[in-house]
Amino acid sequence: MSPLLIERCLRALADTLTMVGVSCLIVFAAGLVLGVTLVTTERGGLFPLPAFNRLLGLVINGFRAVPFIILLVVLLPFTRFVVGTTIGVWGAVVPLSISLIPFFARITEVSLREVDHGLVEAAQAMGCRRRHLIWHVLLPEALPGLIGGATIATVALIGASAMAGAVGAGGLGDLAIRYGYERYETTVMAYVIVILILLVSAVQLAGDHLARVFNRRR
Amino acid sequence: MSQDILTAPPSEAPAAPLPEATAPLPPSVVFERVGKRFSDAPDAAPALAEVDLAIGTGEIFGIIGRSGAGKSTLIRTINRLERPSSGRVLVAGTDVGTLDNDGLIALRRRTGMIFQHFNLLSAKTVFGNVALPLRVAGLPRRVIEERVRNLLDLVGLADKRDAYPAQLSGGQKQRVGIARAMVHEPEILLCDEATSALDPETTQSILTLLRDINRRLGLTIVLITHEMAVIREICDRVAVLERGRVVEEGPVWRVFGAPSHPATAALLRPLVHDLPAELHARLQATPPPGPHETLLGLRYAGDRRGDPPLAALAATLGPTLRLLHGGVDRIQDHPQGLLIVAVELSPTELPQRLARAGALADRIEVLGHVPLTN
Repeated sequence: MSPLLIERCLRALADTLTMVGVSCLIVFAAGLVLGVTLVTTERGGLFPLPAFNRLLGLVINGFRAVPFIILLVVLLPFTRFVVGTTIGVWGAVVPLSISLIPFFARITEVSLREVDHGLVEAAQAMGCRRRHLIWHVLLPEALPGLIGGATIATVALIGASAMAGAVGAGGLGDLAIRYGYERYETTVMAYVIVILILLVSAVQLAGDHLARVFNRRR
Repeated sequence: MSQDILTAPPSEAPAAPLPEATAPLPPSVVFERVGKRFSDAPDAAPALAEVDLAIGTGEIFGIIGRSGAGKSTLIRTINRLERPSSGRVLVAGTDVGTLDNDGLIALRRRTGMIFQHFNLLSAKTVFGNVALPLRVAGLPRRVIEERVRNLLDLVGLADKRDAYPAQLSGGQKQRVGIARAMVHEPEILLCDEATSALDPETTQSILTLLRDINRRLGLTIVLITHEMAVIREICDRVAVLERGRVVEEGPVWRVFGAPSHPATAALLRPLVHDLPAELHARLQATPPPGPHETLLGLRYAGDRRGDPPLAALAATLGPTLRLLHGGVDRIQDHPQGLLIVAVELSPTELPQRLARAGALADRIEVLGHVPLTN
């Protein structure tokens, strides 16, 4: 493989890592907040607001129903408003984040619901306020599940980032399409696939390891 | 991971332990016609109905009933984990229904609670679990360290400070639960089936710990259970709950010695049937047609003097009388005698013989019939 190609591969890897890394941070933060909101505002929850809860659920479902490649186009005006451009790495970060936030919100919701209600009751009985319940009981007890969910979301982000080439963001997916498919450079395709496999495996291994470290239930 | 995110005003500091119990103390918890409905349907049976009870300061009060009798709901009205649909619950004279959020949190800090399944946070160490109630109350780290250390010493778990709950046995977990419930130096300890998930030996050690805490600190303990043995072991007074109503109430020795309600008798049964398992399995409620023995339980309750007159019993019940089991229990220092005998009598003979034997025991109960095979 020529030095030029190696450089392009590295460049693409760096773009992918930037897009995925930045989007991950945004997705985890926003998804966590939305997930906690979903669980706490439902009827019988800590801050019951059933009407708001239903509306939020509908919005989340709406975003989850739209395929990423379409969201990318629909969000163009919004993307321009937020980051000042619709192309390049930053032009991809906005739609990537928005497409994965509802996904991670649902994952957070499921993990929080897994927390034994007895623990919430015990915390209430010891005089915890509602914010203490979220901070000291719900989130720490759901942590292994949240880490597992974050791993899944990261892998999904890596997959979705391959489509970011459509807005000229570069990255590994873009490289594979332009060189491997359109220019019949099968070796490039093969290299990209190997790099993606290594990347996803590394994320999965790291996620599994963290989940194990933070799981005190056994 | 987390900081203390609440700084408590001084008013939230826990109250000092109560003074040594002397003359009749004012009641600690009072239920006034407490009712609870979970369903709005008018024909649905209420979970609680017209519960009137007064629990004295410093006593160990047991509430017993079968599952579904409403025990859990009742105990949860004390710290308002459940709100009654009608009636009032007074804790130290205050109607808990009228408390605002801050008042409720202050009440819950004066009222410790332990649970059947311990409900320890799996993500926190033993220290972290016991310290949590103090951390959320915003106490200084130094105070927390000291109080948690003292409590772990009290429950005998000083060496497990940095263990996670998953590494502990059931009895150890409940000790952590007790330490956590005691950390605000409460006036009342609520025990929700606290020993029901434990083996008999561990149950014994937890009950001993609870009684020890009660005596040393003058703490009021309210416990609910479906096990009569637990009540007999540590309670001063007991209330029997059946379908949401209190059907019997009084000192444990009296309720046990002379149960007046069928529900109490049913709950007592596993305690009195110290029969060999083999015999227990063959016991029938109705007399079989062929030759059979009838098993009788003779109770000698309370302050009766003298031993059961065996010769007189044999003379009354006939020569087929066999002694299966005899024993004397002491409940709260009141002797409770029980004699289990078998006698071979026909169903026509039995009632008159029983009537004649009536004077020879405080109470005679037909436990069942065992067919004779040969």
